[in-house]
Amino acid sequence: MGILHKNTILERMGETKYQKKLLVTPILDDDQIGPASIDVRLGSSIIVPKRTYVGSQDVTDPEIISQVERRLYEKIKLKYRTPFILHPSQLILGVTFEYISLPFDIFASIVSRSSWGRLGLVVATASVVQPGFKGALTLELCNMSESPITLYPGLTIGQLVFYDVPSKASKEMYKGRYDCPTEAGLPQFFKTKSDNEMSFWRPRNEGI
Amino acid sequence: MSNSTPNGSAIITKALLLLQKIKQRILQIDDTQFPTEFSSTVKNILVNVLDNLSEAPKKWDPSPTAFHRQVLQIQELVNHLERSSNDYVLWPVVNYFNSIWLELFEGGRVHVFFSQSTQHNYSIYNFSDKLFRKLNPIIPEAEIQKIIDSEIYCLQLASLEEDNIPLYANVAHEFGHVVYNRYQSDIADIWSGLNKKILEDIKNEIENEKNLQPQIKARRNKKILAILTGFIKEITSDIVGALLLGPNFFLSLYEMSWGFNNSNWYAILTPALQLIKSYPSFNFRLEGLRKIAHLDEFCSELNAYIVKHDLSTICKVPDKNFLSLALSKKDEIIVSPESDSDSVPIKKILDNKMEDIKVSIKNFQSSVSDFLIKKLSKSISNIDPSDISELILRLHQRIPPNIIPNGSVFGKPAEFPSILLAASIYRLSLLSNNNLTQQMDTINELDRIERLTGKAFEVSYIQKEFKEWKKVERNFNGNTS
Amino acid sequence: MIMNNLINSTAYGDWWSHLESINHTIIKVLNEERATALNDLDRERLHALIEFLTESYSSKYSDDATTSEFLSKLNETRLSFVPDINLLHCLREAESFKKWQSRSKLGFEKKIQKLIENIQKYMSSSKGMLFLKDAPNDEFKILKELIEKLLAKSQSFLY
Repeated sequence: MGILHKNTILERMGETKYQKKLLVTPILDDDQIGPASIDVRLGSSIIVPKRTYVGSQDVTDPEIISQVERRLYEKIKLKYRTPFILHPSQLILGVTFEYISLPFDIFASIVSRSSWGRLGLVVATASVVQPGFKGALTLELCNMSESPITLYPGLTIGQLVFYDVPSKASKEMYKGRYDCPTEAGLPQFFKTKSDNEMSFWRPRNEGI
Repeated sequence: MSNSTPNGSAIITKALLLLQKIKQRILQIDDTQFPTEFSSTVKNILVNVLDNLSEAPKKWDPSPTAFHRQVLQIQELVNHLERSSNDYVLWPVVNYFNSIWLELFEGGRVHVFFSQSTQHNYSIYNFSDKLFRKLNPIIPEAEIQKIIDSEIYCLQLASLEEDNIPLYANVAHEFGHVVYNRYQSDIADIWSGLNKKILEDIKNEIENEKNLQPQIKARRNKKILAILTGFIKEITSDIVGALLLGPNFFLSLYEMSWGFNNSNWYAILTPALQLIKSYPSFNFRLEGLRKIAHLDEFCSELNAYIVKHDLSTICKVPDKNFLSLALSKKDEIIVSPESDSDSVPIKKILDNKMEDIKVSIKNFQSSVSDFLIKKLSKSISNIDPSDISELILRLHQRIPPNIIPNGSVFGKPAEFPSILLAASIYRLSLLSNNNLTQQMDTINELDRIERLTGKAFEVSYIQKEFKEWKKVERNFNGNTS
Repeated sequence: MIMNNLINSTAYGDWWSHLESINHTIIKVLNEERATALNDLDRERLHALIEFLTESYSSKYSDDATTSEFLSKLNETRLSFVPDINLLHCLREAESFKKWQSRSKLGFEKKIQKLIENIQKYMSSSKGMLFLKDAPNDEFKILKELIEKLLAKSQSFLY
């Protein structure tokens, strides 16, 4: 299993059959494609958590999760050329400008660009993109510095690195909780079978 | 009721307090969230109006109850301004249509701002005129002209617009109303050559009504003329819609007609002549448009590409059978409200003349279409069917329809009308193949199409702007290096 | 519950405002304690009333939908009202109109014409101010009664 370099990336992007095609669209500038990665930009959809009254974010409790969804988040659609100020310690959910489609034999990870990292901006804590995923990627953006950072939709904010999956590996495609997302997405708990096990870890009324 | 009576001055005081609150509300609207500058222009006009209104009781001594009512009515316009921010309207779509507007009405003296309606319908109105009418009973006209010094229209997008993206094509029809206003006298000349006999017959029919005051006969005649003019306006707007967006507009109008009696024509009477509205039947409009939008030829070419991409089982191109309209019902006109004593006699007259009216309007349709093609320097929008088939394929693959493959790695950015048409055709195909057992799958697929199409609009708009900027930057760097 | 007169945003509400604003001017004319002269807004309201009366009592047909006169009327910013009201009947029933010029033996149509002419004469009488002391009181009393009837009828369209 290896990292795809530029030639392979371009080859897979030029593939005509969609099942085999690696898609990152649109690419505004050829320079976005580096030796072994593609730069991605910040999109216009943002979710801003508010300071408001919710119980602690206990993901094993569906009732609390739905409260959190209703009360905690504000969805914003920024116009391009409009600044968004990210304050110290503030976390927001952004989205990539680009829409990504991975074939069954490629998976990707998204990493921060070091220049942003040096300013204190952490991009994408949940970084792995499964084979078969289609959608715009939600980015968890957090300002770890001591001063506010100004963000603009369209700025290159992260990098996608691609890895090939051995052909004898499972051809199971992504069947996750996020269905072709095009905007920043809220956390989605209790949407897949594996989430049902969370109730196992909750306290029970009788003693163990 | 006079201003000097206790009630009169109390009402004025209430109205002035309301004015103050409305002004505060307007000042808090965030200009940076407007998709175009013309919303800011409207904001400034409204603030100016409210400042002038706060002086009006002292200067002009208007009727207190009329003053109170008109101040309340201005809130409607403030609602429209509030709903013109990015929170309500999809800015790539707004910017796209704004660029069409600027092309149509170059010279820049007539502007438009976009707002989201609370109703699920598209409409356009002259904001400047509406504001004038709200102020007319309480401020002298010369003063109003000083305050409202520009002509601005408000285009209202349907509520839940993001859930009905293909219906955006209706915006082109609304622009048609403004085109009609601009070329009204030329269009009227075209119509006048075709309607002399109908008008003569109508006048005779009214005249033959026994025991009816001449004044009421004259009033009914005026209303009928306003109704006929309304039909012409709608037909002209349809043609503009087809010229700007081709088959898109036809399909959008077709979808809007679902669930209605498509043989009904409508006339809505009001006490103000200028506000009488009328609409030809959907059947009549669609049948005429079908030819002007070159729909059948386009669908036949598209079908060849659909077959080539092996999409026939997934996407059924609207063909003649799919779009066949129920033309067997006899057209009739519904005149409302029933409480208006003119409605029943007007209905009787127009029903009697319906076939003649249809013939005249059909002839008008083809003449005015030639006129508009020349005047607007536009042919029916040239959309390549092979591009549409590629975009439909992308939608089927759950990818935004923003790029057309052209052999290069990155492909060619798709244009707005192509994106809209691909989404529209694929969506119509899904809806027509829908059965109850697969309903949930269809709903999910439709939702995906809407989101992917919205994403395609956004990124293709930015891609176009970025490319133009890059070109300028390259030229600049080329010149300075 | 707010009165429909205030919240009705249709053309029927606009018609009500139109009448209400005219009524206010007529009351001013008949009550000289309030002012000595009419201002620009008052003049416009009276012009609007005269125009409405002239149009309503005219039995002239528009000959052609395409005559520029009719089309420019449809395009006018200022609204032209054609309410569903029998104006002749309203005037015929007005007590003040019945009493006015009762000795002159003018026919009904001629009386209406004379009423409109007298108001028009007053409005064009001076180049500057329209002084209330010069206003023809009897004619304005007729207008007041007429407008009040129209206002009462217009209420029914608001509900």
